[in-house]
Amino acid sequence: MKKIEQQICYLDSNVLISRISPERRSDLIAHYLQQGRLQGFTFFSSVLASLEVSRFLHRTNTPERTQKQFQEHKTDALAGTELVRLNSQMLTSASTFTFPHLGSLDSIHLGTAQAIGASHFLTNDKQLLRACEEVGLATSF
Amino acid sequence: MRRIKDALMSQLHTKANRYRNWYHLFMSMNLRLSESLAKSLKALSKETGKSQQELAREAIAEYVTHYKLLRFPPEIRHMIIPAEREFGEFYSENPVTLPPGVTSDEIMRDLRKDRL
Repeated sequence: MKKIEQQICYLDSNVLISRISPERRSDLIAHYLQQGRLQGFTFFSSVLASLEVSRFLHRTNTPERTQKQFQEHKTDALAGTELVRLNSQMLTSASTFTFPHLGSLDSIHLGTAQAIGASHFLTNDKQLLRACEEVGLATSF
Repeated sequence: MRRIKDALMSQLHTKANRYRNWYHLFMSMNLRLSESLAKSLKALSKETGKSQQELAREAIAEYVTHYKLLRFPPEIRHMIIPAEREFGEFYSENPVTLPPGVTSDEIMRDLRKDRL
């Protein structure tokens, strides 16, 4: 697959969810994203992240939340993030990671980041952070 | 006589409102096309059975949606879904309200759990 000739920062879904979740606000992640923007990075994630944000919103749904509010939350979480469609190359790449504690969804995110040629990967997940460092992806700015 | 006049005025008023609402909902614009493009559009309209306006609207919508993709190599454009909105503020002004006693971390951990 031809890689994107831009500086790419891949965002894990937990970073996207922290944008709409008040108790997960992290100054460090906000700082990294700000740095990434200043340095001209483009933010990417997988369509899987869009699904995970939706699942998160369904899990936290309340009778008062309208469909419009649901959509607004989702848009807020994903704002400024280009999404990459999954393909078999990404799934194959995901299946080759040997880290024993890396979950299936985590490995898909990691495989997608590698497939599009990301140099940075932002996540709040410790296992995934370790795996990113092992494969040579920067996890901070 | 007065009643008829009132009824007519109210009808006019409603029509004016309707026009005003319609105008605010749908922006109108004049589009100048070259002769050849106008001919092609007319031919396409006949072929598809869609009005020329409808075709022009569809074409503009598609262009606007995919304009951002032009900065990526053509080979991978089909794989990218452009962001719906610019980045803006990092944190949402209207965060979600979580059910009592539940944290986002717990939800995320649960969502990320592999199937057994």
